[in-house]
Amino acid sequence: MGHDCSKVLSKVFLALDGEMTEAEEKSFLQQLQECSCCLDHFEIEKEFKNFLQQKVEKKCVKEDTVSSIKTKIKSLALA
Amino acid sequence: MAVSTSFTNLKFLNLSVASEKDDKLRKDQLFEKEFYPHMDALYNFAFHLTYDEDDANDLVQETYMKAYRFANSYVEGTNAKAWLFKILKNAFINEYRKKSKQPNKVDYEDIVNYHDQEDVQLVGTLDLREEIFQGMLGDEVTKAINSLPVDFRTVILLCDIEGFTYEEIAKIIDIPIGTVRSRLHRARQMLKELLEDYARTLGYKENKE
Repeated sequence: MGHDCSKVLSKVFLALDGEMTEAEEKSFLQQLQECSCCLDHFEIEKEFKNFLQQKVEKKCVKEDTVSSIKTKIKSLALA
Repeated sequence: MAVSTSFTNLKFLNLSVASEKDDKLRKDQLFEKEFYPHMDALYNFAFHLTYDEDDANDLVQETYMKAYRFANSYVEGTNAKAWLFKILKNAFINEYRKKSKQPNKVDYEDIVNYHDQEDVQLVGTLDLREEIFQGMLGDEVTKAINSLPVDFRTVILLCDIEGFTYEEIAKIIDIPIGTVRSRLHRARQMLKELLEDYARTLGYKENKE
């Protein structure tokens, strides 16, 4: 069986999102090496995911909110 | 039964026979051990859904109030983070639908499935390694995510930012896994188009052969 680009490309996100078993991932990475076009596509998508993870700022909840929530929950527990 | 032994018995007795006092104790521990550790993640999700600090605070607060009310339906030791995210997401959608007063919800899935075939072939021309993207500020990327329709924004946040599995996402938003996949795919495509448009206003030129 030859290399089927569309088949490989349809699995790119599964690989990037960690949705493959170890065996599936191994065979997928092998298939990627067979075609520079697929590999390039994979790299671009990988970069996109990294880009989002790096750029989107992680927001932390403020101390005020934490204590206000805990106080409210406590008062509910005493009710 | 002595009060001092009732705590150890909690592990063996089901909630149905636990006294009210034990129930409160259980809830207390549940919140400390399993629910409170996710407050930052919940706030982060709420902020990126609403893009407003006050609204995000309200959402997180509402989430914990609801978690308290429905604590008995949570099975200890299961995925507390996903459970809480589901509550928050539902609270957000309710609020959002109220505010936006959209009588006709567009069925995005129809559009998604329609485009799926060609999307696979549509190899991304967008190369994020380019300097112009690397120079983009987090705030600008957040704005782009924020301008996606809410159903699409949600899957990007849950998958790419919070790192949930497809199965968890399916549970959080009550859609089949196949729909999670196709929605994510479409969401990423839309987001790339938005970022590309934005980059173009900054002078970015595509390298199309």
